[in-house]
Amino acid sequence: MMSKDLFTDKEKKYEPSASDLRDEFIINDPAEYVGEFRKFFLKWVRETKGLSKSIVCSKCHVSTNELDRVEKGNISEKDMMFLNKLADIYGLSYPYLLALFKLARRPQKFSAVKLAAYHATDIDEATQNKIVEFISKLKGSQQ
Amino acid sequence: MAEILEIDLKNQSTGDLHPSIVRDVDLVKDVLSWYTDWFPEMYDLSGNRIYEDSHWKVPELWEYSVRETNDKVLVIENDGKIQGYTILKVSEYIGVDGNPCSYVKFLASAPWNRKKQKEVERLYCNTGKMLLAACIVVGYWTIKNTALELESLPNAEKFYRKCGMLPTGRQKNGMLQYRLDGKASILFFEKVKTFIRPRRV
Repeated sequence: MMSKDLFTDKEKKYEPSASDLRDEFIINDPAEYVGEFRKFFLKWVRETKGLSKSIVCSKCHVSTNELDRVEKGNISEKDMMFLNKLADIYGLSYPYLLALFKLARRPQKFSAVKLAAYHATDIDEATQNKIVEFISKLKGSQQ
Repeated sequence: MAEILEIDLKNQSTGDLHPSIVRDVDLVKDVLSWYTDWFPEMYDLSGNRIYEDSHWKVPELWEYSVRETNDKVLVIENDGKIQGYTILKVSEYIGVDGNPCSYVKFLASAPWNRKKQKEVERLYCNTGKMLLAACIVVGYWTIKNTALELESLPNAEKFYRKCGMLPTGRQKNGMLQYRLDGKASILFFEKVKTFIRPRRV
């Protein structure tokens, strides 16, 4: 996740400016970023917590291969118990982890629906518009 | 994870006060919260930015600031959600008056607390002010100077002026630099202290 410096060399002559953030700190395509996020998040959390793979595997009673697979974002419904254990070990919210990996069966929030739409890379514009319309109706009925 | 301030966030529609805390960022927990709650609200479904700060990779900014710099990353937490965050440079910065002061690198409220949400009323209406108050407190604790400087995005200028900040110059990228000097920061703090619980202040 980390980069060497926050701002470009050119802009260091002046006070650091949020508008001069280096490219590594800028989201160009949100759908792409969602994909990236799922692939690095669990590994990044483990490393941030200073936990080795072997410790996590022994606590969760899984093989290193399984942990590797999950950390790469290859997660299905079969891994929900595993995610639950990881949430416990890492001190994370289990529902949030489910939302991260699209495993929440019934999205309860507008943001969860939106995230699900970002994950679906094969959606065309017309379908996106239908989703937006549907969400707007849903929001209207909730209010 | 140090707690900086205990505050109350004001619900805009009901006027109710909700106990909240300003604390140092907890990278793991807060990054997931940002991703799940905050990030989807920054873009529309076609991937277009909704806000002028939508494009920031906030987790990367937080991680960089915590690990590679002496900057403080503060967040407001309420009911498990991040309501706003700020990244504050409190060392090695000299203000326009020639004295060390704090420099606010980033300051952002959660999308649901912003005025741009036209269809929905903002949830809390004082997150930005509480973040500025926290910056003042941290500046006082660390360098004994409550003055703040920052560079404002165009849409945020009205807010900073309302808080008592004055423009001190324009950068080459066209952005305005603002300053809240020592006296103005005390005045500002007096105005907002009703939302701050007097524990460590």
